[in-house]
Amino acid sequence: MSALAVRVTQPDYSAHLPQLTGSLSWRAPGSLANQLKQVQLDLFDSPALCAAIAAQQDQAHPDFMQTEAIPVDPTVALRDEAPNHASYLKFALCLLATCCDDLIAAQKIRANPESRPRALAEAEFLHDGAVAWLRGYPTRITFEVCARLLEQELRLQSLDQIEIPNIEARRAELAEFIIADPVQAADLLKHYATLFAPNAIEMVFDSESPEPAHGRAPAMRG
Amino acid sequence: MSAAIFAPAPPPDGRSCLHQALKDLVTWPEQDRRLFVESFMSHKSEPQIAHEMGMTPTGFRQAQRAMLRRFMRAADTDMPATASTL
Repeated sequence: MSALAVRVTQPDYSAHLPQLTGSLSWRAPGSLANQLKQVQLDLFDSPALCAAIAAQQDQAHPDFMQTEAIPVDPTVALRDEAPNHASYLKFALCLLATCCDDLIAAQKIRANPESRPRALAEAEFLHDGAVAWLRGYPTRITFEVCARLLEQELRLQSLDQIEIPNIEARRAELAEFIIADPVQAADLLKHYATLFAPNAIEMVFDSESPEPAHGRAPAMRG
Repeated sequence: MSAAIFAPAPPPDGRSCLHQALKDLVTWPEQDRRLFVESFMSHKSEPQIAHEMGMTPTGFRQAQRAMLRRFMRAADTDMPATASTL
């Protein structure tokens, strides 16, 4: 059997697919999504803090993914520039963005009446995989760890000047928000990436982003 | 006896968990490893990485997402990025 045929069977996600409860919209007062949106808006309104965050990230940080922490093939050409703090946050955002992309892609395929059975099967695969992971399917890097990383890194990156909600403890709510509205969730992630990962401002997302909430555009680094 | 003895140990921080999950990064397929390293261990923007890897921005995004998807869905005992149709 070739290596390409290794992983053709889908794991059993059934235990992780039932609906959980949670606030599903960033518009719901007190919802985690609402609080995360508020963090974003607070930062947009704080150019001095944004400048401080950018200055911090411009400094090389010796902690992230140095060879002692993560083994890197020495033949891989890199290290001409030192990584910074924001890499961890960017990683967490990218994991969540991958889920959003998968859910959005599945929605598009399902909504297309001309989708063929194979495409529909792929949509199921993408949807179920993303949903299962968000609801705690145990993998090497779990959603729980991702939520923990996101919360801790947001605290670090915002220099403790912004109140960051308890994302890890409320991860089920975050998961249901992403599942219920992956386009809005992707939009939120994109703004966080712009705020906290200035070297990845052009970080790309599959979704078309709707207008920011309240019609406010980021007034920060050019 | 101190009550502190019975206090549960705090969970490892997110960075430690990530480092542990990436312990066999060196065994990843070349392209996945390079995608990871360039995406998260360099200061380069994604368009710049895409250009250096000879990809379009869309192609880079798709490859990066596929790499992350494999990593996310790998069981703890699996290779994180074995070749897959995804």
